[in-house]
Amino acid sequence: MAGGLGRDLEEITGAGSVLVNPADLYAYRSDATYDYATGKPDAVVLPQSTEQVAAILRYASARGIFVTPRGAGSGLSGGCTPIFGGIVVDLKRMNRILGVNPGNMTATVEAGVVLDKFKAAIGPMGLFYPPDPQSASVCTIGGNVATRAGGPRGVKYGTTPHYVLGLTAVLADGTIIRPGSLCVKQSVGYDITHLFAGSEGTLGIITQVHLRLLPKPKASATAVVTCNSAEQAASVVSAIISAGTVPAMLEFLTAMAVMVMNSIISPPLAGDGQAYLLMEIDGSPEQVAADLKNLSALCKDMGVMDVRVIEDQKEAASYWKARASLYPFILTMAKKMVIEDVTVPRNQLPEFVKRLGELSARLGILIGLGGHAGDGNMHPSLLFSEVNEQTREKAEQAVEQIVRMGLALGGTISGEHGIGLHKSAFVEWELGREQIALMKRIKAAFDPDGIMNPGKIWPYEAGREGQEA
Amino acid sequence: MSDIAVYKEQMEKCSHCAFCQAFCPVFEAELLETFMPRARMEIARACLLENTLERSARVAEVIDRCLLCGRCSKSCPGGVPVEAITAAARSALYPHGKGGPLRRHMLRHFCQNRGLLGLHRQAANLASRRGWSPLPQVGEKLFAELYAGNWPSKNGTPRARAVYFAGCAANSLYTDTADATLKVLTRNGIEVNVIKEMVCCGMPAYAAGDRELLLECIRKNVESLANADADVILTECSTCGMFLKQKAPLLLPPDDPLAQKAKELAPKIFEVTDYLSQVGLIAAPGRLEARVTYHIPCHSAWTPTFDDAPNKLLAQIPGVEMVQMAEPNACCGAGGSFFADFADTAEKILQKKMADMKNTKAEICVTQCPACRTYIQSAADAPETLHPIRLLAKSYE
Repeated sequence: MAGGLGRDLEEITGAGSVLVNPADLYAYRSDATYDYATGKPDAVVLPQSTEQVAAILRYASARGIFVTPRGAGSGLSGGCTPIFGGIVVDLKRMNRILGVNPGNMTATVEAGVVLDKFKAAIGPMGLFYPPDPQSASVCTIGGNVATRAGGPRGVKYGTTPHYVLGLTAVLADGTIIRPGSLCVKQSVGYDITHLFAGSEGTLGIITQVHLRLLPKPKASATAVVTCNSAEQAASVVSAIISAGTVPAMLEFLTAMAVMVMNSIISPPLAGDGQAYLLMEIDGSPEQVAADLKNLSALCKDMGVMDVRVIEDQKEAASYWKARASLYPFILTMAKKMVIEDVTVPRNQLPEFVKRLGELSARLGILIGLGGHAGDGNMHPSLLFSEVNEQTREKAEQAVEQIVRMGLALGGTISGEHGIGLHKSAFVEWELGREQIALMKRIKAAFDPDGIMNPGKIWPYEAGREGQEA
Repeated sequence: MSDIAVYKEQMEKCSHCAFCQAFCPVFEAELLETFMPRARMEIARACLLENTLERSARVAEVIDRCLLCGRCSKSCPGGVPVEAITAAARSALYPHGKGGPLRRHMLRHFCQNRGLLGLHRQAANLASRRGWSPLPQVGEKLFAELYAGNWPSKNGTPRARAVYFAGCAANSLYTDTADATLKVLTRNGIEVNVIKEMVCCGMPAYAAGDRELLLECIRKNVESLANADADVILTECSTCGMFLKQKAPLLLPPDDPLAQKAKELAPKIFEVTDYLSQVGLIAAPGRLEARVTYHIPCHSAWTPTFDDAPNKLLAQIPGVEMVQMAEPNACCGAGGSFFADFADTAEKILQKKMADMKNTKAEICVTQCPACRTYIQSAADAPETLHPIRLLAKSYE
């Protein structure tokens, strides 16, 4: 192992858990947003216990070395990219499910447990963990907590933080803390547990999580609603929400999104709609039947083109699988895509969709919509057939305008991806200076030397946040 | 596996979504992003195309520590042919093929003969006797030499005229499989032509980055098969079939006079149990008591029916109970010669497979890939492992 850093880290984790070769470091530059792969780490370390993480952080803080925690590297904000070098702490080898407690409907997992593997483990026990970021096949629960990850089920079940009861975390100086507990109600002082939710690795490293579980719904059904315009689909979503019948998932898809998804949807969806709503309803068999009836009637009353309940389970599954792959799918038809995460109150969806259409025409950019409409999280995606300076500039312009548009409608700049680097320039627009100043004071209490994931959430300020890069 | 630069545009289709992590057996075993398909491709691009990453032993290892199982390509939502890019990276890395002159010579000899002959055979047998290799003893003659020629239907007017292409393993190491294939086909009214002149499918050369040898193999075989003018081309080897059917037409340069022929042959190529389960058996299998599980090899799915064919076929043997293991299509770690080159990773992949297999309590494991067969059989308390066609042949005894 070349260099002192690698050797020192090996003393903590043992050989085979530290990478310093340039080829390895190259592999850890990016997450799913390739644009932010501008730096690379000086070392990658793969701890296997909270104690090892603590030792790594003690080592790093004593020397002022930057530390960037990492789960699957599937994030969409550049949050885990080591732009200023330092140590990447990869938690994928902390992947044990430590306990599942059906009597209390809770589980305790290590941060590196892959979400789908966790679901596969608890499913046969009749247990259900709703958060469903579309990268569930690879993303880690620690990463989900750190970014407040959501997914289509957000509309009925909320997102990751709603299921986090407590955690084990290591502060920048190596102190191990265990905020929260396995209790489903807690009222003891500040809620440190949820301060870590969405902290994006800037406060410390989450190593274990206590999760709350639900009983698995007994029945579910999938339906597709064909709409004659994007505005109509948005109005239907708003009407469904105000009617009080909440689907488990309520997705908005443009005709273009359906076209690319049709390579997986089997048999393909043949329709002449301009937009589609894809929904799942779950609950008891009676509840599902009643909800389906109500929702179909509501949609028809609003003049939609068609409502189809997909009876065949395999066919229904193909829709959801296609939906999960929509984001990488889009790249089969565009050279570059910037995926947006602005979220608006549901009653503002029709206006948001209308304004997006106007923006698309004004800037001459193709904007694909395939969002979790039920929770107002529309994921407009900017599509480019060429990658050059001009399209880059246009993308920046468009992102800025979409963010302003969302905020003007009472929205938020990120529903589930987090801020990372992608949105750090806009954070102040939403939070204001006072809140950011407060956040910085909080960070200083957790990470006085500013070594934890520098440059994320708000732009890096040398000297005010630890050492120079 | 043409020049890696050919893939430049397809590499740009990678959205970096990381979904390939869920499908790569090497990543799953090591949990290092260095070995995930996204990174492997990025490293290959940076080093071999853009010259932004220095060539090193580690870069070569990253490109080599890949089973070429193809799961990344099949599962990539953006349709990036990651596996083909990895193979192209090997050709760029090893312009004359991987390894020193001795390894290259042995590979060439093996491919040209479709098996082990002479000194190579003696060396393999010595290694086998000493317990250095998991392979069985190799007979003096190759199957294609012993059985070259035309074998008429033993069950009435021929239903089809087939060329039987025995893969290198069946032709040399596991001749029991080739014997069984010939026997089952003729018993089921298929006329079989065994062509002595055919050579290795080319996969080992593809895996070694030896473009020259691989094209030689493909050209020779396409020529032989085109001349044979059969109704169908059958092989017992999942990899040979995949290679002849799917890779050969893509790997021959478009202006190659044989490229069109390779395309025309492709729809005629089937794995033997897949073919039989489609056309149906006309000779009724006899009774055979066995609890059997099917390991689906990586190079499957070259037809939509492939993955289920052995289950459907063997379930027709009275007394045979087919039991499915969890994740029957999970890799076993063999990957051609991967298990010899990267024993540490392969062993981790194998352990998971064997745990799943053990849960079925099966006495027999069937699989169409000879590398899987060898590697699974080498595991402690492995069930008897053989090609599904062997079991069917046994039921006719």
